[in-house]
Amino acid sequence: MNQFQLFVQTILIHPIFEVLRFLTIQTGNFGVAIVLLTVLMRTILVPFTLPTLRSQKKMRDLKPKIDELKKKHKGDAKKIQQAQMELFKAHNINPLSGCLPYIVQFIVLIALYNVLRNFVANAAAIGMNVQSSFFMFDLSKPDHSLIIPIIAAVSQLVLSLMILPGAEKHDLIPNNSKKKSVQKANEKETDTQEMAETMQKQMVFMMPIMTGIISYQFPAGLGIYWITTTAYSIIQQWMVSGPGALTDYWKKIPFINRT
Amino acid sequence: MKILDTLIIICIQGYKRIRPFIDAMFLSVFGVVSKCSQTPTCSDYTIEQIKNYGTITGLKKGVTRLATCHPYSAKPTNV
Repeated sequence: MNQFQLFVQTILIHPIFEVLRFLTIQTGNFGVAIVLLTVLMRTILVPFTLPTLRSQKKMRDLKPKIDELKKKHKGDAKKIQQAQMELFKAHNINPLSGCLPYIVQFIVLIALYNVLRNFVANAAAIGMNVQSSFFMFDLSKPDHSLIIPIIAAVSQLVLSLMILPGAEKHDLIPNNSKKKSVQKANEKETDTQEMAETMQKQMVFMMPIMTGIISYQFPAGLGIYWITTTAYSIIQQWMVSGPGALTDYWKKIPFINRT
Repeated sequence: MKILDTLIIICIQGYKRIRPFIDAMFLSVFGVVSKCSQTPTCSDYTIEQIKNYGTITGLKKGVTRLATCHPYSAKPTNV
């Protein structure tokens, strides 16, 4: 474990820390440095994120074809899956998948959190004469004026709405087979899919609340980081696949004069 | 052995509960989250294998499957 920690420290924590320090010295402002670091990191990640976003959009575009397949091989889950795989192969969809990227993401996230927290707390201790105020916020202390938490929560909500699967309508298997056994098998499949969907819908509203609470409790620098990265995600998502479910919700908001 | 089985299965189910939160967090930090490419998912598969073969063999099977699941894996995605 110790070896592993050392490894993470040398390849992740130290470099990020140094970059952050460099940016802070150059700009003379902490908030600006955090924003720059975020943009830099996300830009480095673009080669990984963009193909995934594109393939997600392609998959969404292929939905009618998949529905057709589902109708064709009704009830035969194995055949559906096979046909689906072939379709994906034909359209060359290879989403970032598997558990290895997941674990890598986890490690990067923890490293980033460590760096930001340490940096925010100890900037003065390591002999840096840094302005820790950004606009009107002191980034080394939690923001109790609620402005940063609210912005973080709202941007999170917007992002969550954009990627909500609701806009894709239902991907559930049509269950109008006359055979009882087929109906039952379909029901089971539908159940798991429905559960996943409701979970995701709950997340849409849970996540902003959690984001707000977290940004309220931690130093405002973390909040700034969160807002920047979410804004970056929103822009990226918008450019690749448009507003998504956002339009549906936008239409639902009453009392807005739309011209 | 029975107790250990139940304990591990509860742990895996707990992980499945918090997975959406982790996913949402990754999504805002990195812009993407890697999706599960196998059906059934590794956690479901592991639970099933533990039920069938007991803790040690089941866990071994689950971990092997998890370890072979990455974008450059030569193995077919459905095991």
